[in-house]
Amino acid sequence: MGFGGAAPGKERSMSASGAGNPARTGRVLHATLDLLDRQLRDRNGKLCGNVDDLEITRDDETGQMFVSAILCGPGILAYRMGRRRLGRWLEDANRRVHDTPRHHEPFERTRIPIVFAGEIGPMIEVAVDVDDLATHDMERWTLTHIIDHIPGSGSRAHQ
Amino acid sequence: MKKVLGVALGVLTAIGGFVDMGDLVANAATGARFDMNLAWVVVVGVIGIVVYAEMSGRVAALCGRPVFDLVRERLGPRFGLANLLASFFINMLTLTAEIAGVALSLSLVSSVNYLFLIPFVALLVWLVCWRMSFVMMERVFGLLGLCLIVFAVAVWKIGPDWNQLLSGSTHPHVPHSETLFTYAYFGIALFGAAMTPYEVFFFSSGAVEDGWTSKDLGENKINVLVGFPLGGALSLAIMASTHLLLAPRHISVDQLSQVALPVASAVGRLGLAVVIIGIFAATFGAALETSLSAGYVVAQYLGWPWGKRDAPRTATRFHVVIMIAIFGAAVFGLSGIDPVKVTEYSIVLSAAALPLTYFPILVIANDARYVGPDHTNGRFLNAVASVYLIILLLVAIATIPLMIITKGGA
Repeated sequence: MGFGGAAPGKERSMSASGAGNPARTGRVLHATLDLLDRQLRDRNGKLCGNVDDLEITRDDETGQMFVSAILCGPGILAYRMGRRRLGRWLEDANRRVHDTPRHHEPFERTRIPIVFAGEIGPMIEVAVDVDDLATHDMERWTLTHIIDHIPGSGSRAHQ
Repeated sequence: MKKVLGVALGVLTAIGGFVDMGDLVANAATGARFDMNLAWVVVVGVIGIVVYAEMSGRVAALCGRPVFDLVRERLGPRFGLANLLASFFINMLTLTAEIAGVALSLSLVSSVNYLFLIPFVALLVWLVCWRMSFVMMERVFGLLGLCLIVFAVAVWKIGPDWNQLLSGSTHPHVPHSETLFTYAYFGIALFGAAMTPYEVFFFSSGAVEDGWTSKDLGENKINVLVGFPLGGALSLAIMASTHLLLAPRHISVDQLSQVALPVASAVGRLGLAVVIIGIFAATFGAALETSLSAGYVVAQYLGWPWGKRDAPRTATRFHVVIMIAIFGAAVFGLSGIDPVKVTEYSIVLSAAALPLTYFPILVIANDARYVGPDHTNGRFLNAVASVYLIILLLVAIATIPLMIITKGGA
């Protein structure tokens, strides 16, 4: 697993034991194994992307590194894999489909502050709404532009 | 009682769902060309799929994570992406083969050229993916697939010397007319047909769709331990039928209709009708499984909502990927490419791509944080699974060179 490129503007360093700051979150984790690439689930249990990258911050007082945010959304994974041009292209493409800007966004749409992370297990629950995340823009676009036009896509659960 | 019925139904579904276009073609072709000298490969392949499907089902039941989620988590995004591209490509070949298989089985009864039927079949496959409930879909095509038991009836009607059949299977040798290379190539084809990656994608995703929990572990075990070996037995019956009827007449299998030939000749008209229904159900069921698998792997790698338990509007990108896959496979099939050749390539390449999919399953099935301390693999299971991983690696290395040396098994 390589960390060839970090997201722009984010600290690049990522030690193998990039642990959470116990003082802030009370959890010490192996960031690469326990966080990266895990499935995210929003507060209603909806799947809302993977942990594409992590934002690591250094605590000024203690000098300790800790995970400050989960990064997810179009382009982030490409940046992490060192594909900057692809990442930028994906970001731009997503900006076009994101047609419903929200006024009271609690955070950037591709950055979930770590305090929003709940249970960290095989899935990571985040206390956000899927519609506030950039990972869901394309899903919504597909719904209104394609799926809704096909008969039988209805909300009726057909068990 | 209801529980017993459910389990029985699950097992029957597993048997009927085991055989697909790949198994039909690979078993019939090897039976006609190599007699029973490759029967042991089917046994090896079935044990392999039993071991790994059980693990993937157990992981899915205990932590709700299907296989391709684990692939990205454990291989990392780079190898995960490589696996995604390879699996998706192979899955497209398989889907093309299955759709063509359905069209061919329909053309046998309608005398319409199968190419005309492909668009119709593709539409039907999509409609089922779009609307039919998961359980219903699994049951209908799994149970109809049981019609393939008529191959066993055919073998029994032919009334072979059972001792000879058994000793032919247990004392394998390379036939004089063949080389070691073609023998190995067809062995890999059989192995790939039994262990096709989409089976674990579908099986584990299906377990999540069915909402399996730790209570369903028993059902998982029974489905896999009883259903798959019986499905494998069905594969061997296909092999035996062509070995007994086609090999002595030097007929090689290069069309799907020839697969049905032994049944038609041994059981008669009714047998032919039943076997055509069986082939239709087996290929249609597999077309559904591969269509859904296309959606599963992409959605799970990228973390999208997926699944057909709820209406399509709850998993929109997943359904779009499925549509694209079915459309692409139909266009590929319409290009007039030989369906049997596509099938052969799809199973041989499957064998080459297997390690990347099976390795993460083995790792996670040993991780107590995913499956809990009581449900990790035992020592024996790990030993067997590791041996298989080594076999898979060797097969993966040998596949492409063998493909070139034998010119695709010619």
